[in-house]
Amino acid sequence: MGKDARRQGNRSVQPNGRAGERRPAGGGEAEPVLVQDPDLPPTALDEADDRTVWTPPKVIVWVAIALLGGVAWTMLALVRGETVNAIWFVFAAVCTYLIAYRFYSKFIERTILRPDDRRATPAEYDQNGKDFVPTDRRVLYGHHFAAIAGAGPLVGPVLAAQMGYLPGTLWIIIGVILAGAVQDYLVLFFSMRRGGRSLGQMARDELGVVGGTAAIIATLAIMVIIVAILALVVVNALGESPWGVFSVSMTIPIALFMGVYLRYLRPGRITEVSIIGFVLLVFAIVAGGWVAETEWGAAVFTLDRTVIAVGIIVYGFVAAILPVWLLLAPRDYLSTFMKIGTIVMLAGAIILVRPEITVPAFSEFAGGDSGPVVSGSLFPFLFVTIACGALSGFHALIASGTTPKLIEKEKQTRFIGYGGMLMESFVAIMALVAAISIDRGIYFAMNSSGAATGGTVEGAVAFVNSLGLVGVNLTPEVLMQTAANVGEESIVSRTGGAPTLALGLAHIMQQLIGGTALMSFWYHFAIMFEALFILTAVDAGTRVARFMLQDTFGNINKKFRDPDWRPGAWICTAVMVAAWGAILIMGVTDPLGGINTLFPLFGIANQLLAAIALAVCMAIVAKRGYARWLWIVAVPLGFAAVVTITASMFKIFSPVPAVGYWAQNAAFRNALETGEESFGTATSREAMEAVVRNTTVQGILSIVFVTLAIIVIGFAVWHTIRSIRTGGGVSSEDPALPSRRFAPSGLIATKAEKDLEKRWADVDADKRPARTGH
Amino acid sequence: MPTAPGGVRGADGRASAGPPVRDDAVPLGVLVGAGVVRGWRAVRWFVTSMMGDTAYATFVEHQRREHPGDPVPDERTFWRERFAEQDRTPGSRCC
Repeated sequence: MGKDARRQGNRSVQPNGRAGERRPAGGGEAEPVLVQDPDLPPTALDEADDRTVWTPPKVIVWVAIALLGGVAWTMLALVRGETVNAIWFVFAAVCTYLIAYRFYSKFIERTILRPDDRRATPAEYDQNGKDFVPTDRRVLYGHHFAAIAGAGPLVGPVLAAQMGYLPGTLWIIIGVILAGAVQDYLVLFFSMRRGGRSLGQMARDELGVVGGTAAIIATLAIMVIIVAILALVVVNALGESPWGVFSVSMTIPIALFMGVYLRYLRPGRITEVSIIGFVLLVFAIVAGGWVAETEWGAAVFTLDRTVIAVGIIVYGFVAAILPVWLLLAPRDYLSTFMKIGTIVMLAGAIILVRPEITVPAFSEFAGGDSGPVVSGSLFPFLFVTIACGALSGFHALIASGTTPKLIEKEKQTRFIGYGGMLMESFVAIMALVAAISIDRGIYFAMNSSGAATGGTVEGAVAFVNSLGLVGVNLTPEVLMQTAANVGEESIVSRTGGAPTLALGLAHIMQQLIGGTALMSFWYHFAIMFEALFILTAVDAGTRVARFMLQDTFGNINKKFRDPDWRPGAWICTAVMVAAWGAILIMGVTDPLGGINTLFPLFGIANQLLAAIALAVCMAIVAKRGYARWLWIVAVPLGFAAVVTITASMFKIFSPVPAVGYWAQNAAFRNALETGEESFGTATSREAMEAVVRNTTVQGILSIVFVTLAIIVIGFAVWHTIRSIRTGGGVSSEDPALPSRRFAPSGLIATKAEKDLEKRWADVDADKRPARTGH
Repeated sequence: MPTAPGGVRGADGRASAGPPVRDDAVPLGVLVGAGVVRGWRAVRWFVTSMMGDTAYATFVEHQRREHPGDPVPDERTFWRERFAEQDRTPGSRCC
């Protein structure tokens, strides 16, 4: 069959007009003729069976969903009471997701993707029992969700809450249904049709060498900045927190123990070892409280942020060169376990507790660009502050990685790709609810940079009360009491989003279980689970970046391509760690506050990757000859491009120092030249020099990102126009092969699908297909 | 070996955790008990499949079916090779 040749050969050259394939007049997508095995039941539903019959109960259910969603949106957006109940966020989100999933994703399926269940997926035709395995759709959904969701959707919405709840809520929900979920779905489908090829390879196939290379360099640069800023979030959460430092560092021995257990004691017992690890983790959190109270514990584990940053850099290097089985894999199991568990717990708690929200729909900072948490105006900075949860380019790397190789049937891509992203968006909504359920005064005291608050309770109270927030009158007692409740020395200027989310989660959970006595446990539980995601992402990101770098260096010296050549791996790991480590140190020591100046760069990087992914998808859709439906991709691409390019332009050209990196740079250089000893929040000449250095790096990064993105988008537009003119192009898909299996497409099997499944159940054992989960 | 979720037949047709037959003569306690067992099996099946406990069984089944003559490595060796493969080709985790 030449299976291996097909998998490894250069797939960009596909024979045109193969036997058994009709080309429609005017080019575009070829309609493959697939001969089914006559001894087997059908591998796909008939079109007649697949069509929805609108029975009265169905109509009533959908009308009810629409009405409930409408009421919820009215409560959130139009009714201006003193407070709004958090349950309306849940209803507005879930009803909108259901409608978008049922109608919009179905529309995308019918117009531009047209999956064909008679075609075998890579998991079927390349099945090897390891990474290519037809996987049950429900299992794969969990798998895919665990791979895409991390700390991102938990952090962005928290920071964006400074503008009030409505801008963030609107963007998270509308953004996901029109942009984020569309991107994930398209990339997953197109990668599946290409044997699970990566985004970089697809970019090279569709956009040529220059466009493809720009896409790969952009991916590498974006990976570095994302790892750096995630690490900065952890550093900010653990700084001056002996409890947090103790319990998070305990995850390392716990993971090592799990790794050894799985390798030498009971190989393959992953769930078992994850439960053991989880129990140990909870014990580590409780023990953190005891240790932090002792004198020696406080002395050993109260660490300066710079020390923690250096620790994470050393850790990142060691973790990335250690074998996977020892540290990365076990911590990944733990993190998956915690992720699903905590999210289900938080959703349940919000529904049961239903906190009243006092934050206004639009805050005092929604109209200007002077917000203390993240600077910049609502447009475009809201849309880059919340990346994950609404539109996250990083997902394109997952959707073109492991998941497409595990899809059992083509039609399941809608449930896994589009549906998986809806779930991440729901996580973002819950993070937003958690963040706005705490007192606004506390929110601003925690999220304003140390440069503004001076890091002291008095400074924070003075600063927050000077912001002129309606209904906010912060007192030192409130801040000290809250800090005591969560078992911390202080909560002033705990920037980065993670501590705020942890406080919100603790605030909600303690109303359900344990009261204020358990608040410190819940707080550190939340810190721990965010740190766990981030450390896994840091480790995995470093490995992927190293791998890409090895591939690039391989062009110069072939030896680098050999993955078993350790010096090559070490050199590339060191280069990548140095790159993100430098940005991390820069953020930690930044006299201007760090996260508030760097976080926009994280969002811009992530959205630029989304723009690149959507650009590749647009070129493919045009090549398939569906010019009429191109807007499905062009609209989110246009929006992402406008947002990120505008945000980058603000960052590069804005004359406002708080917004523009170069304006800030010029202001500080000027002050240095005139011989000033302090300027703004920088209190010494060294600090002023640091600002000049940092803004130079940030400014250059902005320019690099935006240039690469414009190149990629430009090539994509050029290829798209060319395809529209010629009516389509040669597909770079793998050849169509007939499928020999059947499975339902959505979460719940329809009546017709169940009937067909029954027919498959009667097939002789030796003809039945193999799959995972048995 | 883990089984398919309660009531849903796997693609290979084994209704290993099939729905309990409803019979009015069966006392309620037995029905509830059967429901709990089914629910537990479904959760167990989902968690072990998602976490990857079943990877070795899947691989063995694949080898037996597609390459019947080939020797099948033991579970320990299988996991060693799997992790070694992950070392060579790292996969991404998201933010």
